[in-house]
Amino acid sequence: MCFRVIRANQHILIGFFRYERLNPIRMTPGLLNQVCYKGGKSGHQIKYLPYVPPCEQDHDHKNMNLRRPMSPHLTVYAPTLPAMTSIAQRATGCVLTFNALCLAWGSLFLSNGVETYVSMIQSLNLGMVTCLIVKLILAAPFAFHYWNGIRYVLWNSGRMLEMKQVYDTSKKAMVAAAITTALFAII
Amino acid sequence: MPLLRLTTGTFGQLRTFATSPALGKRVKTFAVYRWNPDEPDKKPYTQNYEVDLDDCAPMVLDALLKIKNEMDPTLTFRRSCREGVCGSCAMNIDGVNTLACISHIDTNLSKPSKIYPLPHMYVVKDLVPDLTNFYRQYQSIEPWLQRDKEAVKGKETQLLQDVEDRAKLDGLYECVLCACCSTSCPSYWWNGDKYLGPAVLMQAYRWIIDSRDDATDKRLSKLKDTYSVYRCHTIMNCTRTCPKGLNPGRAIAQIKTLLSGIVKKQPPIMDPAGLDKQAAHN
Repeated sequence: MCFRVIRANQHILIGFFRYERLNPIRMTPGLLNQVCYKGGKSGHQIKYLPYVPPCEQDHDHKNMNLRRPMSPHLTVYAPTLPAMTSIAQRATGCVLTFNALCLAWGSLFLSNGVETYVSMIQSLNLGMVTCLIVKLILAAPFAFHYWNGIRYVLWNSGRMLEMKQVYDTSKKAMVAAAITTALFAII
Repeated sequence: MPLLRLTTGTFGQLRTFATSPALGKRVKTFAVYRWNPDEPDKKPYTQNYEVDLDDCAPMVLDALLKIKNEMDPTLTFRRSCREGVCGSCAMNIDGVNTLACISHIDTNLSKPSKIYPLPHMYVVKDLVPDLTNFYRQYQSIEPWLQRDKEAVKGKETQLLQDVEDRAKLDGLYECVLCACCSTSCPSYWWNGDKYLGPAVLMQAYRWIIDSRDDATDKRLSKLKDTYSVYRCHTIMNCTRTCPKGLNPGRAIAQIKTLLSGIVKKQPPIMDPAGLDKQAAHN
């Protein structure tokens, strides 16, 4: 009885080795090719393709495909004095360009001379205060852009770029702009 | 005797009451930005955590670690050195980019402390931004020493540099590339793909002015376009935010002066290849 059981197990083991481990195709995969080719077209053919690296995606596209959100920026970043003077420089620059364009187009396309418009404004009989406010509105962008622009000239030559100096000059530019605006308005 | 035994406990309690400074706990609220890539349809939101400051070390990173360890293990952020030399824990804290490990918790308990990832970056998870583009830009400036005649391997000699020339690198080489400055720059927000940003430009400048580096002209000509450098409008958010106290804004201005030719790179005071030549002479 015992003998039979051992014998049966041996048979199973031998069978396993014969068909699995000792199979020549198993032992040398290269033989597989030969076996396949022998069979002509009916056999499997192994094709070797050169390695193609995965398509490199643009940083933005990759992230958008992954549906990653953009972290908040304008809404969370603390407003700072240097950044505010910078954006104010832009804004006043736009206003000044607009003013200059208005003057240029006016001189080109309006038929009457400047005197007509001056007299027109005079005939409106504006009050002292209204006049002052209009003057302030016209003068302030120019004054600020002028004084703040000097800071940019200094910076572009590589000077006054310490943080303390940046704050200091921005305050000075604002004071100077206020004084100049007042002077323009009084004239 | 039993009565005494009863009272000891009571007196003990009374004493702890009297000496404990926390009659009312110092509880600080942290509003932390959350977004989970596993739920991409859910919009990013801020989650509030309450931390007892008496039971927490003084830095923001300590509070974040406390939250992660004790309240919410899903909170994700980068950290490593906890002393401001690795630059991993860069994030936007109360509106300013800094390293969480070296910024103190604001002890004003009435306002919550707002913690966001670095601004205008793609978020990988919670406070972790995708810095691939930033690193690629850093790679593009070739941040290593380049010599006309590279030394033969195994026969390298020391390059000479005068103390004065070396001093020019101070305030530049200390950068830990935490990306605080670049992500504080509005120009970098709008043109991050083409404008290199303050951090990378400061490193570019560091290699441009190195007295031992021979590739100055190549480096400068690479930067000569309308985007790489000239998107800098001297907003100076970079210098204001730098947790290491460096000045990227000035470095960019100096690159501009070099590009425009107002300033020329000084020739090295000491010939870098001096030792090599001496060896050949002997």
